[in-house]
Amino acid sequence: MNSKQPNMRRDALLRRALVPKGYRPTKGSDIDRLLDAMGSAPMDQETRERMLRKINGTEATFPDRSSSPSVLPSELTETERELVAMYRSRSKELPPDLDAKVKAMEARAAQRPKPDEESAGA
Amino acid sequence: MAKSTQPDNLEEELTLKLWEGDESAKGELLVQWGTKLVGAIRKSFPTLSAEDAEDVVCEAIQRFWVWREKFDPSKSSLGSRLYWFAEKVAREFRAGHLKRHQARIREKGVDAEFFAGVAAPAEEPEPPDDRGVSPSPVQRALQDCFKALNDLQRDILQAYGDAGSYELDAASLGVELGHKHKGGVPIPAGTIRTNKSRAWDALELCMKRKNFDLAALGYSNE
Repeated sequence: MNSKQPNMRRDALLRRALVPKGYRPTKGSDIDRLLDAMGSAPMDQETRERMLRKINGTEATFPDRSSSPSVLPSELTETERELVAMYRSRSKELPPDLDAKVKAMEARAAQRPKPDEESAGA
Repeated sequence: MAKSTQPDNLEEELTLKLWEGDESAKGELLVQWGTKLVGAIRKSFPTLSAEDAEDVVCEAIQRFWVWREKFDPSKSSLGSRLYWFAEKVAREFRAGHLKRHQARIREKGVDAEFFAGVAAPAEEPEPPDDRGVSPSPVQRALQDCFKALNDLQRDILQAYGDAGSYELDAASLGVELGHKHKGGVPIPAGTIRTNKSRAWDALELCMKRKNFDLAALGYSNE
């Protein structure tokens, strides 16, 4: 037996506890029931076109969404920006005061409309 | 044969198009099943974002297209087969293995490891704790104990559960959870594994207080 198997059994037990049975079907008939329960609302045109581009390989799936939201350079001094870059490049936590400032800026940046939303609203 | 949720003639027409390699079938699969699949995947993998669930479905349709000639409508409906693909992709993504599989498909046109499991998807036997529609007493106790963990530990355990039989890449999870919990600073793989171990220790203790001995039930923490 692979030594990892006991852990996988335990992980599977937890998944069974956390995800309702109907949402983790294994039989074809159960899958059909789940899909039926999802309703039949039509997909909007923008979503359909975007997904079709991904299916056809003209747009990448799973782009890197983990990059930090862009910060407003004017809110940090040059020294602070260098400090942020230095700490992050070393995978270290920022000093508390600088961390709080950066987080506040990132939160504001996350609330800003995305470029395509801005152009759509223009 | 699984009951189809689409009118038989529609499914037959679409199947013929797939077998003939008619590229318009990809769009029809999306229109017929896209919304349902995205919804189902989000229910099954609640930690996936809407964008990730959408990409899971796109990737699943791409792979189904590669495999389409082997689709046998007497064994499953199109919808259930697509869901099966999507679930596998979601597990790959959660385990941090997706990019490797994508690269293999790009290089070789097919991913032998992925497609090896398609021929006869095993219907796993129902575990004793999972009989019946409602959560069993063990499951209810685990839900309660899980809620008592901290946010990071909950996210880690849920990711391992969602990865299923794929061995989860702790470094990849550390990057993702670093963005969620540490302001973008990656959490080292060792810290992920340590937190996982501690979280299970806490769950075991909590379950014992509720008179459930996980080790005795065959779920050892090793």
